[in-house]
Amino acid sequence: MCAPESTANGRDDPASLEFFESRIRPVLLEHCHECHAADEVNGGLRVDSGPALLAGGDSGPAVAPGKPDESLLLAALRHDGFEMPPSGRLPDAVVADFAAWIEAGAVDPRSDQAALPRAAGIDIEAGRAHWAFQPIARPLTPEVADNAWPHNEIDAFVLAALEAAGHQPAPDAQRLIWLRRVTFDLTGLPPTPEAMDAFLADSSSEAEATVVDRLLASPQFGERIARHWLDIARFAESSGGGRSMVFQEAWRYRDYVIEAFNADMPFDQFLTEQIAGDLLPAAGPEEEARQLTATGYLVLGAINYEEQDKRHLEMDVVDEQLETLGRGLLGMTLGCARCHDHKFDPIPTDDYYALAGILRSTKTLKHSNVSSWTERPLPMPPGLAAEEVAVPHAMAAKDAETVVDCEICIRGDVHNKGRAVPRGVLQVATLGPAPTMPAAASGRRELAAWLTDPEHPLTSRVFVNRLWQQFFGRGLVATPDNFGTTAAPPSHPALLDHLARRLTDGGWSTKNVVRAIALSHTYRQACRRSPPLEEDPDNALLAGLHRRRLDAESLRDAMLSVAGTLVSDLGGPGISDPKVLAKAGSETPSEYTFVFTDTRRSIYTPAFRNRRLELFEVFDAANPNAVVGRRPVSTVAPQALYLLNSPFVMEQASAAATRLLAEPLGDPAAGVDRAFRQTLGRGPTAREHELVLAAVAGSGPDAIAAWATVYQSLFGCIDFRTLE
Amino acid sequence: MPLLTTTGLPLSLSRRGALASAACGFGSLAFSALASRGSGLSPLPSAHHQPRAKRVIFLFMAGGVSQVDSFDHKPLLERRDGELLDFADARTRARGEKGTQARVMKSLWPFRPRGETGKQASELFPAMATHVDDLCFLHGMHTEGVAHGPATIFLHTGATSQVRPSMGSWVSYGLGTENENLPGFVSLLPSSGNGGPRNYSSAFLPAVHQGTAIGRAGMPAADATIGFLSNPQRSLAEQRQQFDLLQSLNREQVAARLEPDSQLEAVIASYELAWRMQQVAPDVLDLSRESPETLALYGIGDKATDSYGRECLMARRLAEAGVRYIQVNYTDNSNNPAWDQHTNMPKHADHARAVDRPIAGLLTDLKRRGLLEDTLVWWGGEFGRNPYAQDNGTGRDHDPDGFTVWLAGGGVKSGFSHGATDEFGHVAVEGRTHMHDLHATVLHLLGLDHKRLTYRHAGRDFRLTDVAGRVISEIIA
Repeated sequence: MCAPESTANGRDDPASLEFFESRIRPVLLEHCHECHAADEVNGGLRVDSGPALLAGGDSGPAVAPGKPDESLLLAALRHDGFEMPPSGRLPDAVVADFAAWIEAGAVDPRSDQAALPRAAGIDIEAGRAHWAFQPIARPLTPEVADNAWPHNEIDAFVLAALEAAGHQPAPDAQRLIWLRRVTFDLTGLPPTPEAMDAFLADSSSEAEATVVDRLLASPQFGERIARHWLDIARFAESSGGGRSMVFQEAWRYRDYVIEAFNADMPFDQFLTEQIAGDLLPAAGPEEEARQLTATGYLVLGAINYEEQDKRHLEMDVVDEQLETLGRGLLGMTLGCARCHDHKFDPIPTDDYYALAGILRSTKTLKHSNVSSWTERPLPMPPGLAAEEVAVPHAMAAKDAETVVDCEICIRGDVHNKGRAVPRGVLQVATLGPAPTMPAAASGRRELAAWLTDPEHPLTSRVFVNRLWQQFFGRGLVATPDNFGTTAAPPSHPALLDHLARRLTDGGWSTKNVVRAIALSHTYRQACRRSPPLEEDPDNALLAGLHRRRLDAESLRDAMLSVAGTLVSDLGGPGISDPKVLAKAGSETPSEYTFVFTDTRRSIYTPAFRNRRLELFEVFDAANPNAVVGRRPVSTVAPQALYLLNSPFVMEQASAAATRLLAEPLGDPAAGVDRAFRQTLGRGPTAREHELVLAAVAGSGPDAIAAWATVYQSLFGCIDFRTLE
Repeated sequence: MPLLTTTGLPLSLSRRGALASAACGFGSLAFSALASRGSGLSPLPSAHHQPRAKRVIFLFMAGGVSQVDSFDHKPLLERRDGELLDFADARTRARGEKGTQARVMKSLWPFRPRGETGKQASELFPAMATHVDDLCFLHGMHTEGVAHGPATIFLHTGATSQVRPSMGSWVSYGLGTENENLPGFVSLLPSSGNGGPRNYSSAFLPAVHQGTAIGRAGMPAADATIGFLSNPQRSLAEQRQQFDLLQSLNREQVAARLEPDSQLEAVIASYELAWRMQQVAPDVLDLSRESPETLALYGIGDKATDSYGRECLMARRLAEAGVRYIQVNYTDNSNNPAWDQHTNMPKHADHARAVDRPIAGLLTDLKRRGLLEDTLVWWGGEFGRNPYAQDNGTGRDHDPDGFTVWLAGGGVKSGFSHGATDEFGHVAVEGRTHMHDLHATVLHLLGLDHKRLTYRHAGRDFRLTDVAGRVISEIIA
């Protein structure tokens, strides 16, 4: 018989023990163990051990011996702040037993120390070992056996990896296949038959460079690359959530992005303006307007402005911004750290609330029964301002009146506040000294400066990886929004760093990186997987290109382009109906009665969160409610139904037929050839020629209908929907 | 390296029987595209445990039906009608203010005992009330979100603000479809308000689990169909001609490649499926071959009940055809939908008239066809309504703290009531059932463990019930 342990809470008192065994333990077992014991530890709290109960969970110690009113366990049983058990309040007598038990010292014979929660905290220094937090290297261009193959340094990295694995690159794609590929990738449109002729006629060694430079200089380049950025920026023109309200001014942000890419605005400036444009000095009203408009990035998230708990709403907005910023710019899922230290990545809760403090000190929200977002007047050029014109507004952020450090919301609960965390940035991604946060400003400028430091281990890597993915269908890091420890490491780490350095050393020029990729030999390969699947099932080594699906916008724009119905106006608002633009009201016209009619490029199609163009819905366009770095690729029957039966496709096919028949073609065979070149960027095979010719033969007066059938079949066929 | 089937799909991913080369259904096509990209998609071809239900029919009463006017009988309201009392009003509390004084308002419809169980039900739903012995009432419901938007999205996705998959998408992901020619999850005449498509969206789950909308709120159900299911501009012969040309080109283009590519073959298969769907789906949605007796049972033909009656009958036909999750919406496109009687409680009667007979007819029909055995029917809104008048008027504000839903069939006790609100019918106090708990219970009845039905996205595992949810074992038969 062991001597009874003598402890502060009197474990040797038989009456206390009896009380625990008869009144307390059975209740814990019956009502609490299901969610708060070894098998499941909700809220970090275990009640199946004495020490664990004293230590408590995320909200703090559960029991304060001798002090019932300071014991969270009792508060929960009393439904004061917490409500436990969730199935309903226990009888008053039971609650009184717990009060008495705690009052008497909370005697508890269960001494299992092992049940104590593990020491909290994340080892930041150990976390730095992860490749993505390592400093960006300056890798030397590797030596390769086949010296003739590389066109530029990118190719040396790719070839070195292939040679190391005992593989060879795929042969070059046919020239017209490359032309279709590069034209879609740089402009989102098909090559015209005229561009095909010009390219085939150019036998110089500069033929490809001529094409790439022409495409990079075209305004369609900005429209194309902006589409990718808008996916990352979860761009939309309504608030989504419950009562979806139209963002009347969101188009200004969209145009800002297009213009920035067309002007090849340095990427560091592009990010800085979006995060802190309102805080930057401006040389004139035009620059000031542009910088204000850029901060729309922070404002245009999917928000439930109807939320009645305004404190909750404020944190939802911050959470949405951090999720967008985290996944979009850093490749980090910060959201996990809202409720607890990140389980996989070295991101403690403190880092989340350090960043949250910067955004809590920023105003993007206006409160009302149904709240709304902030808009700011745009400065007018001198002279114009005096005239009687409506002052334009943009969705824009500003610093809040008061700068605050954000209090930790325990388990994400805005009404369960912990200590305040000083504003700051992600510790693990900070290689130099941490930025100092100003006392009188939100800290967004400092945040932007930290992000755009050329040595920042994530910003440039994440962005060049996104660019790479747009050309190859798969990033060097396969998960573009997640560079954390759960992600597969990069297939070509040195190439990733080479591209990151190419970006930052080249004045953060996007076009510079894009041009190198587009002119690489790697990108010129055919879509063929020469190594057997077993050795490289994902074709990560790039022995040949991935066969890709035309994205929804390119599919639509290509049909419009072939049909000759594409209106190529740049920029400007896409919604004009005042009923749709009206903010108030019980109905939401944008989400119901809106009729999509225009035939402008898809980037200008009104982007309502709860009502999208059906073609976008069906063909996997990015969900505008979240950061989408990689769109899903599906092959589902509704796509086939759309291409077979939608009035849009039939109208475009008919317009294309009318256009073709208006041309001086000579004979149907020439028509077949032209239709294939327009749609597929190549002439027909003998069999295809035969099939189509048979379909239009003898159609006579019904020629338009017959040719419309042909165009519709071409719009639906595999080679139209696929990018080789 | 997994073994490959003839279609090039890994064998481990092709366990769902229909995933053969010719039968690339709604389920398998997106699936193959994703699987071959190594997305980490893990199929759940079978349930976690023995299911009690194979499918769900969810009768969504958008806007919030008043519990104290329908199935939650509170005699005290009668006695204290008109008195000004303090209530911990949910909206006021959410705004961080203290409770509010409000005028007690008794039920506008008298209650009396019904059926063999003597369950109290009001005159609001006289036809449904004849089925109380088949129903399982949950009177202790509570949920998140005081306004329609957050609460509606929470009901459907388990989150008020973040973008999460809808419940039907989780069920489709967990169990797949029983009919490869039809989607696994459909939503009949869904609203575009209060989250709109988010309420039937697959969010980060593969697109194939997206709910398929049949019609839209605001249109008569007689006009509702699947998008682009038919081509009124062309005769069948012309359609066939275009289809044949298209598929000939496709086959030529696949053959022109040196190596087989299962994804290109999947495109061809998707056209074949679309062609079959054009034949199959209209039949499933076609009510014209139902007997006059059946049509009458659902109230089809009567102005008040025609639209919801058609929805309910389509739901039965979709259930028979193998659709897993069928949401039957009673809603509109307003942000203050159907049942939202803030200022005019008597209007509840109009909505009750529209749904009462159709729902009773559905229960009768399911039961006599033996379908109620393995079909779980769920009736309810995103929250309930307060037992006191709003702004001293004739309406009731939202009550997310205590309300009633009922379940029927599919493994739940019949003629049973679980949980209770306080004596006014305001706040759930007994057998409290959070919406997460209801989600967990519905999944459980389908054979799915809500804690194990997870999907890895953005670096972590997500589930419908987040970190909460308790199976309400008390109601399981």
